[in-house]
Amino acid sequence: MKKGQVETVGLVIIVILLLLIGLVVLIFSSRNKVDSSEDLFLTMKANNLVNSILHVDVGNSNFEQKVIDCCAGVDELSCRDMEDVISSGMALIDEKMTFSVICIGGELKSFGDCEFGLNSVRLKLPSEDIFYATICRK
Amino acid sequence: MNKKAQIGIQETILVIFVFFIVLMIGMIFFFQLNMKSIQNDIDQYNEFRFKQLIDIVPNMAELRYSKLGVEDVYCIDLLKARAFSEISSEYDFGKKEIKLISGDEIVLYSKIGRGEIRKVTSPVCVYDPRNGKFYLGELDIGWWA
Repeated sequence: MKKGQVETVGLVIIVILLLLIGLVVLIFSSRNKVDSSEDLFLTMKANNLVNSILHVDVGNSNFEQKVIDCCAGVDELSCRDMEDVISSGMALIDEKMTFSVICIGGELKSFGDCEFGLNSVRLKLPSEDIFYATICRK
Repeated sequence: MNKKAQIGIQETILVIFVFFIVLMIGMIFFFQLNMKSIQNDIDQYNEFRFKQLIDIVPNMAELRYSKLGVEDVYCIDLLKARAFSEISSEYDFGKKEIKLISGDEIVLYSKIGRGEIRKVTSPVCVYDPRNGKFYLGELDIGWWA
């Protein structure tokens, strides 16, 4: 092969390599997109649950009062009622989730099996107890 | 014109011709990729708008519970929901079906489409003014994409 031909073949190989690299970069850049809308949707869902459950009536009282009574240690029944409402709320969600109540004394009560996920808003009750939900991605 | 010059011109024409073919293939590939990306963005946006309804519907003034005009409780008023279901044909949410399930099922909006239906659900608080109680209900939204 003549010197000129060798150089042409080399140039062609470089062009093909550059094209291949460009193609790989294009494919990867279109694949690595994070779906933030799904996270937003799950957060909205968790917020809906937390905001809805707050006002649910339980007997002559409501969920908010049950949380306050349970945290204050008024009676066992309040804690059971609170758990029942939480369970019925969690049954409406397909994803794994955890419902957490942080009492003013620092005691943490959590229900569910989602360890790492997206947190809802943290609602502070008049008694300064806090409750929120964590929802896991599917 | 001598033969060498003619061959030179033909060679140039051939090179330009091949160059434009390669350019056109590249442009078609690029535009197709661009169109696909734009279509993906449109689909994602429509999907998000659909999912966002779980936040929009319970907050509509037509449905939301209020006392003396104050909307500080995040709940759907059952009687407002029943009234809304009768006039919802005047609204346009697209080809969707929105149902409120709380004891009985209220179809808040329905415009049936064709093909596969996609669904999202969310818990909502429901207020029944007849007994003044708040319950946990479910908002069920279907979309014919």
